Amino acid sequence: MDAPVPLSVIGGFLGTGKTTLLNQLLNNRSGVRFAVLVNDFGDIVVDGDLITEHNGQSMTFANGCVCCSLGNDLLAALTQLLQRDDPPEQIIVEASGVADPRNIADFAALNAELYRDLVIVLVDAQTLRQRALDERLSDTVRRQIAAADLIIMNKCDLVDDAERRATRLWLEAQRDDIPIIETEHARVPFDFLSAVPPSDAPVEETTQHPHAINHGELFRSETLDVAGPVDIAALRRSLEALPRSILRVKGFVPIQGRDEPFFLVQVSGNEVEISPWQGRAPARAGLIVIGTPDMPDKQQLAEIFSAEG
Amino acid sequence: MNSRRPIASHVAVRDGRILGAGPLEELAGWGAYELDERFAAKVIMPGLIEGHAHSWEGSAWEDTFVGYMARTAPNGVRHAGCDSIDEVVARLMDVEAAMTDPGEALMAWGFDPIYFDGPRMNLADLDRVSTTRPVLVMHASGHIVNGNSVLLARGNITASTNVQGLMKDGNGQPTGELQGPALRQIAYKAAGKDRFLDMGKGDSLWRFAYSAQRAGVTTATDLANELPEGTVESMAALTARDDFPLRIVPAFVGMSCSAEDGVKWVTSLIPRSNEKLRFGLVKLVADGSIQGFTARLKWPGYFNGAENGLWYIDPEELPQRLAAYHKAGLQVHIHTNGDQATEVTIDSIEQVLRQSPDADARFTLQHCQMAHDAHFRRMARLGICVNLFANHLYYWGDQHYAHTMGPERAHRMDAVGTAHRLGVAYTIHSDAPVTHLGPLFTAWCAVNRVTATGRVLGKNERIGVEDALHAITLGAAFTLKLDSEIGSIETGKRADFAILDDDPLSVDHMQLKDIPVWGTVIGGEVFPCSEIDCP
Repeated sequence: MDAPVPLSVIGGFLGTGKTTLLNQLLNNRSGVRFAVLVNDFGDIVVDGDLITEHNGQSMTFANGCVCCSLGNDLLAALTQLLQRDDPPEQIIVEASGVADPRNIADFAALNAELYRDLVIVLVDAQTLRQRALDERLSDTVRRQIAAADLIIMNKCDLVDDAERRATRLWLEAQRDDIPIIETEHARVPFDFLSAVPPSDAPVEETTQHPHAINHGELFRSETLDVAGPVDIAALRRSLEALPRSILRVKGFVPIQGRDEPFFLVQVSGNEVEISPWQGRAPARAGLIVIGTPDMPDKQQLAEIFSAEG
Repeated sequence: MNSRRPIASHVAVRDGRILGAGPLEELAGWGAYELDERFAAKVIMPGLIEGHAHSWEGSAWEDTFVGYMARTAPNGVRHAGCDSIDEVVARLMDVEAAMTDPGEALMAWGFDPIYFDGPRMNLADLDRVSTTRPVLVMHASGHIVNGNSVLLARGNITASTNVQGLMKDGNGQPTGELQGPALRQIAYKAAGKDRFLDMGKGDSLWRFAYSAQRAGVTTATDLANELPEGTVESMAALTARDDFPLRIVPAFVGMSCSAEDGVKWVTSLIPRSNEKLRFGLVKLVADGSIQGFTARLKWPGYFNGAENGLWYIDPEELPQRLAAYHKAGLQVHIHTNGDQATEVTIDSIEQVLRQSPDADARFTLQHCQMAHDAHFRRMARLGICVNLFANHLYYWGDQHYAHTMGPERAHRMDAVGTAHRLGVAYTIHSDAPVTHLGPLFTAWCAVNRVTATGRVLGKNERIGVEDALHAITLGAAFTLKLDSEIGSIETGKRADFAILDDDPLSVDHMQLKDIPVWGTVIGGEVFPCSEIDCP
């Protein structure tokens, strides 16, 4: 069986920037083929010449991405996507503002062809605390935040520094266990959102900064080389033991005693996925580890993996 | 129910419509006639109108009924209620023993554990029914299912499955109880069926119509339906038949696509209406259910301390959706169970009406079970109609008293008397198959407000029998903007009648629900219950 397709959910109230974020994914130039499921693609904006097909239910783009309307039957929509001749490499489902995004992530957890990736919740730095005080919305806001694996605090350019800090503190009081990224115009580094390791280029060591925000480093990434075939059980143990400061691990690794040259490794939140890779051979074995600035450094990571190995 | 002539000895019908009602010598003025004395010893009422039911009432009966309250199937068979898990299991074992296809799943519906103390249904219970075929029991709420071991194995649901709605025992093993949309869909798929997709298809529409006929109902809503092309086609084909005994008013689910697409689709359906099928209605759902603790309540919330319920639509998006449909000239009904949902919806309608004034939009709040006087006053002034869920008083009134709302608010629930007193246009409903389809029973609930254990909830909220009969005829027609066509027996209206064996105005008001229905007349066609031929 092919490696399961990662499925992420993007939740957040109206006006928090979900569509802006989805537009960026659909227009990405990295080569990752996203499928995005939305309630309404009226607001999806793509350069006209990028759309190769538009049939009312789905739009196909020149970069291989596809955007489909969700309808009322998520299971059917997902099945259709997986049965395509060119199935997507990653699926993103937009949750309505008041839905519990975990209900959608459950569909991935229950389907062997899918892998439950992140539940990403967007909040609007301008309105979050106001909504949290609104009797009609406060518990829904809190439930949404409780469901998140990653919070994107958007529209930080529209509030002053004190307001931004206060909102961040409020969020940290709700969740001190997950990354909270501050952005404007929903600009989030692509590597954070993509569960798909680059297979056609050597893994580059990078430290990325979100655009246009200068509040210091918001997250780090490290790459780890993998010398030879590793023991799958030990690798799984290491991955499951990673500290919470690590949000994502992705890459390709050869496994002892297995004929396949590479296994795909994906970790997000609490989910660990290791499966035989049948796609194009990656340039080399290795893992990209992405997390908050306080995540273990390269040396410590190497120790975590070798100790268990 | 014609206010100028509430009682008449004869009704004259021509071409499916009413020429007039009155003494024979008056009606003879219309010309030559044929006197039909079949109903001489019966009572002819305007055809009853169910303003909130679902065609799911038809498909539900494909499965085994295991509800708590006894119920009559569309084929006339009376099914006793199951008042323990053991009784549910015993009934399923009987059904299983009669099944011939060894691979077929055994499906049941209506299970309502809110009535049972003690342990919840588990795998061992349903494994007693079968260890070779999938067994699936859907709860009355529609949100929870129980499965047996075969079902879980087919769905690949194991101890290592990690989703929040999977109930596990102390040893981490699944108990067979599956909550939430993902597990429910996987369970149905594992059973090889999808009831939700079957809604509104051929056989189930016949069953829905027969259920209605047995209750004296000549017009019922299907509230709501996605109305995909296949469903529209089968609805159009069946309702065009002379022998199909029901007028259907389907409401489109206005929230599973963009409002723009919804407006386009519903508008395109309107010309496909016929005399027994009327498109154009749209339904939105604001919150969940009170007994499921998913309704949105105002402070102080649930009596037992359960956390507040769920929005099914973003309160900030509601006015936008309402406005889109309203501006396109489409009528919208909105499900609001809890008082917070009701208030947010009234606020939203007020906002929409300020932008696009319309004194006769007839926005209708469906269920609206916890509204208080201030809400009804605003509804009256804004021209909002209400369809109150009177059957709840009997079915779950005791649970509302003890667990969900507490005594004071339980007395106020489904405040039919207040709606009447404050001049809100109202009707009452069953939400079939959530409760059984039967407007005379629903009227009985509004008149007596008696719970299953005999407690009277809110005696000041009771209404008179005549008002209750108005609610289930013209009152319902008004909420559907069909009051010029149906709902009363008077010149020009459709010849739709409920034929009763007894007079609702003369029986004891506690007997209202027990009046036998002989059959119906729809557009002058006679449909006796005795001739129903339903699988």
